[in-house]
Amino acid sequence: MIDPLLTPVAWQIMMVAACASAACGLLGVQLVLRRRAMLGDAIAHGVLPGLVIGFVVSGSRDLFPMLVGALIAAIFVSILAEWLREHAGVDGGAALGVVFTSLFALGIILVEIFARDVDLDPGCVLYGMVEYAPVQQVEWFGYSVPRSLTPVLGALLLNLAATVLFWKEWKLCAFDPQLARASRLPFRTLEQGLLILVAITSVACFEAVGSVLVIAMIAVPATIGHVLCDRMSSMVIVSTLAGVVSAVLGTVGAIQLETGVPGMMAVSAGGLLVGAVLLAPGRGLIPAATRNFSWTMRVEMEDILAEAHLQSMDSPPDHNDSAGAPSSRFFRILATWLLWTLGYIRNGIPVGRGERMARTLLKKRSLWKRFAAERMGLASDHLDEPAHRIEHHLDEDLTRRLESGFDSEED
Amino acid sequence: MKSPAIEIHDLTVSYRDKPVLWDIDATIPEGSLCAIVGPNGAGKSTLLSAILGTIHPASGWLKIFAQEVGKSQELIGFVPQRESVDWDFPVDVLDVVLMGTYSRLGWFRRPGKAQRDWAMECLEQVGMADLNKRQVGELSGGQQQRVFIARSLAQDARLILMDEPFAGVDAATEEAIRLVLLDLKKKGRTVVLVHHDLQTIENFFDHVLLLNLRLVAAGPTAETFTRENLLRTYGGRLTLLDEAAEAVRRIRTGRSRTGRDR
Ligand SMILES: Nc1ncnc2c1ncn2[C@@H]1O[C@H](COP(=O)(O)OP(=O)(O)O)[C@@H](O)[C@H]1O
Ligand SMILES: [Mg+2]
Repeated sequence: MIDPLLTPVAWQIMMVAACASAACGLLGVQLVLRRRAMLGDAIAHGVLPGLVIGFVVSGSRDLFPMLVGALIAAIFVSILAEWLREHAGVDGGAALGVVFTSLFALGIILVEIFARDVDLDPGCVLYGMVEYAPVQQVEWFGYSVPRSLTPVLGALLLNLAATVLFWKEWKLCAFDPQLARASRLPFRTLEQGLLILVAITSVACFEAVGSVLVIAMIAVPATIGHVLCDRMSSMVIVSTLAGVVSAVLGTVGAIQLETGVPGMMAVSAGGLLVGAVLLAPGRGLIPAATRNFSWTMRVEMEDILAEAHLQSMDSPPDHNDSAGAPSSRFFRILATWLLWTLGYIRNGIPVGRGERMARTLLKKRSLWKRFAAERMGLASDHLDEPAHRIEHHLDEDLTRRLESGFDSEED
Repeated sequence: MKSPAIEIHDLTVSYRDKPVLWDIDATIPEGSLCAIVGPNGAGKSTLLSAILGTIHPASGWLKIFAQEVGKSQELIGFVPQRESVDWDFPVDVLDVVLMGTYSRLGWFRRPGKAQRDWAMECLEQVGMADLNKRQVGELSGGQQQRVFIARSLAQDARLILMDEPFAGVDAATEEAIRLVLLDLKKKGRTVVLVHHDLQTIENFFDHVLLLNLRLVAAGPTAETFTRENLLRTYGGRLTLLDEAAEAVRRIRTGRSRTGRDR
């Protein structure tokens, strides 16, 4: 098999798919931040009847009338969605769901009735025909590019421009609509404008990649960005990149596995999302679990070392929580094994690094006990238990401050 | 008497067909610290929205500094109720405070160094400058409240509205907000805030507005914040009634004692 990255056909498919994903991803950020990714769904679905009516009215498969019809339908849906939100219940989500599925069904019926003779089939509407993008070419400054690159790239540039130009206004509208309105921003116009851009984008991209993929590419890359990022700027960049990466993986994967490109793109985006949820630094499930685990292990190891140290000095062990849940016994055994493997403990006596750890912990313990007793006036019989928990949390800085606190007093 | 910062005349507000505020008439003088008091669902937040102009009255009118709310270009500082904020939103503390400078920036301009310095100054005032790079969701409740207070300071408005700024905050935050309020008062700003702690009202606010769908009473604290008015405000809800009676009792006894000490 030829390396798919080398064939110009694959490159062209990838380019169209990547531009479409990036265009959807940019708007997806705005919708996800408003918790309204559903709206992309509604508009992308609602476009269908408009498209077919455009086709029927013009009687041809020319792109332009179909796009106009679709755009009108999409704008209609977006206005309807706003209206529903204001007049029918808290967010109108349910009502919106009913309306757009009905419109979509209407569209499918129209396709069946009017388009039977021509090859405008429902499958093409749903899944697009990005694989055939390279078939129709146009000339751009002497280069031959797929015809469907034009609308897709146009949508991308439009969305990019809007994101940059209305950056702070959209951010405020999304974060605090009340302040946005009170700041005398044309709140309605800004939000309607966003929905119209969603409409334009779904129409522009839908011919290339199909309405199912438009929906996925609005919701999924932006959600990845939301999971991974703490700032809107990084979220925009990460979401756009996630869209592009999904497109690349989707194209390459589809060629390798000989399946459809849009399907593979959706799968790739989904995979990236799962990866982000699992691995996101700080918030991801795996880093959080790892942090938890290593903390538990550290506490267990320090406790074992301190106890062993006290015993080796013939001091009475000063806490005995040997019982405990089976899980904590598991950690204890694991910690013991780890200490032995690392060579921190030999014949029950902490050595080397292990000894230093034991001494540090015991020092912190006594510092804390003294601090609690003298400064916070806690009864000494209440001290042991909290000291055993808090001692592990004292970092070097705090320890030094506790020490110097006592020193300066003794001067 | 000073000229009014807010004039409310015959105001009725409804959500769809359900009226939540009826026939409100009130005047809040410029430079006052005004507390809006009332049980949950009394329409306190709704009244703030009406003053902000984000909700249109079904009837009646509101004026801010003698201009009708819809037509006024007056900036209003605003601190939202904590529950209404999306704390997962990808913004850091400084971003939020900078939002207070947006309306003076105008279209297409980004906040620059001047705005950032000003925002830091406002954060300094509430003791949050050190945490300016934190994502807002990673702060404690009190710190989150202080960030929004700083944002309202950054707006540098003559009139500031705060929705339950003292709800569920720690002692340090309470103190910080208190100082900010006193400072604003000293500068002659008007602050209207929704407040729940009945015991602190007498000593701190110079104006109160008692609300329970209808206006129970409004005016200077000394004349308005009375036992009868409070009972009427919280009336119809037995537990709240008791709570109010208890609070009034404590205020009366507590105040007469400290009053004699000084
Ligand atoms: N957006 C809304 N749509 C419909 N009803 C609302 C809305 N916001 C508030 N309400 C209703 O209006 C009444 C007053 O609400 P609110 O002003 O939030 O009260 P408060 O702030 O005093 O607790 C409540 O009964 C509430 O259910
Ligand atoms: Mg409220």
